[in-house]
Amino acid sequence: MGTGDEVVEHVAAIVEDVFDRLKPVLVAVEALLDVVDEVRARDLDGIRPQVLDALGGLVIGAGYVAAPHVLADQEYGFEWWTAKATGPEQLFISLEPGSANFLDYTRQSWFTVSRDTGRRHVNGPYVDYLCTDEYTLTFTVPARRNGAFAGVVGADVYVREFEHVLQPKLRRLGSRAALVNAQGRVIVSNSARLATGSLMRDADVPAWWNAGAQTRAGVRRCGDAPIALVIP
Amino acid sequence: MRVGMGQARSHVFAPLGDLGRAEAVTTRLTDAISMGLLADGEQLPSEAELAGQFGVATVTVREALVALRQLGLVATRRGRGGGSFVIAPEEGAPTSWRQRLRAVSLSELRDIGDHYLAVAGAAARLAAERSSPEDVERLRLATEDLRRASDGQARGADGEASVAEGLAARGGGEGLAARGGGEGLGSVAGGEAGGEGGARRGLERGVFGGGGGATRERAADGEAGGVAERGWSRWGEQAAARAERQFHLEVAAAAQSARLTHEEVQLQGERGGLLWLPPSPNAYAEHRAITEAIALQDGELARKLTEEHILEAVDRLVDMHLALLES
Repeated sequence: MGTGDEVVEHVAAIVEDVFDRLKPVLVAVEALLDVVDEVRARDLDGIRPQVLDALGGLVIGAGYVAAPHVLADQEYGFEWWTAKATGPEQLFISLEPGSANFLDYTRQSWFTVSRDTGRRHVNGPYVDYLCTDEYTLTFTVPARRNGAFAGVVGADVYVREFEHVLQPKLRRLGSRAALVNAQGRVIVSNSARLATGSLMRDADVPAWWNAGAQTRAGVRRCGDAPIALVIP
Repeated sequence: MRVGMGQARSHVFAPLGDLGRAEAVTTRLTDAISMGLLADGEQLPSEAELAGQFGVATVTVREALVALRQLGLVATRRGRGGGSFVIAPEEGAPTSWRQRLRAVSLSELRDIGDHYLAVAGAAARLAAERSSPEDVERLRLATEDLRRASDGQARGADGEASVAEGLAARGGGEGLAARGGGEGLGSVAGGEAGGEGGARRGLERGVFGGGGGATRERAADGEAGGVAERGWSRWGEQAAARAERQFHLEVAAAAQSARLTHEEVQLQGERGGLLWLPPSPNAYAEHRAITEAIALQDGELARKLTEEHILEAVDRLVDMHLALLES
């Protein structure tokens, strides 16, 4: 019979590892924004080495997504790469607001939460229809220029891979358990009754989170990530 | 009589003819260009590469490229720096999608409708089960896009609104601010416009701003291209179709289903994309009702409303298809 400690520590370590991988990307982005007067879309090429370095381990996508009007020559823009079997692949999507294919990324929680709280965030599980169409967790940290929000640096982790590394420890708990996000949405569980992506509405996790996420019977926070272990 | 297993099996492994394949390649590329997946001026891969990617003979690709040239969707330049280049139809591509709708069969339309119904209906039911308040908020935003599209399109004297909306949507610098609370910008544009001529001027700037001279001329043609069917402006059609697509994508994503979302994207990229091109006068109210059913976690209602929404779109397409055949 395992203890919850093991799961909680493992999740916290994974989260720290992903954010550690993003540190050099963030440094490169903020340096670029500080140094270059009018950053243009093609200047983002400059952060490519750091982005490609961030890929690996659980991280299958990484990059920088600019806030509107941060770039001098276009409203929206990003430098984002995804690890594919054939090697890293750059993401291209329509960035022209008038185009029929434009999807406004500034509405995505991975963007808005980091923007509005000024803090790092783990978003998901959600279907990343902008990039991979996969069920994803996106880790983001705000980037700043002269103290002002200038977009997010982020990394993608597939839910199935996250599950793959955590499932053995969850099984060892011996009782029904789930890792859920701040909305109470199941990321991984060890039970058919707690399906991935479903909301554990009974556990009332959002209220617990808003009240400060103090340890309470059956619910524990994993490090400072917005992920909790629920043993109902 | 039951077909012998041996016979059926040998049929499975029979060589695939190139019959109808040129047409399939043409359709795929036409749709990709019309949906903007291939951008104006973009160079297509070489004939050999395309043949490899589609898994067809080079001669089939060549045939498809001839058809695309005839449709005016591709230009081929010889010599150094030559190749086949995409010619995107003007924003909204009304002529192009009407051509596609004309060419499609009624049985195909019904089939597209069935597929869409299965995907979007299931997505709506699951979204009602699984949406967090955050998801519902995104659905509401997507719904509001449609309101802006339908408010903004030029129904007779509604020119002012459409100017404002056109500017708000395009609005180089102000795009996002306008989306947040576009009233300020809208009233400026409205005040500036005043009257039919102003509206036209504004529309040109809003919709076709940045476009070349030829585009601008076509804009001035206005109704000639059959643009303003049911009073929808070119911009309105485009914005409404975009809002529809975004909304249905959001619903599928709110269902937490990568597969349903993927199906939705596929449907939008293929002929299913036609579904949202003739704009619906009721779409805003319908999206609102679906969103509220999802917010109330009423899965059955969300599914029913979504199915009705799609069936109406199919009916609209069928009517239009028939009308196009007569014209």
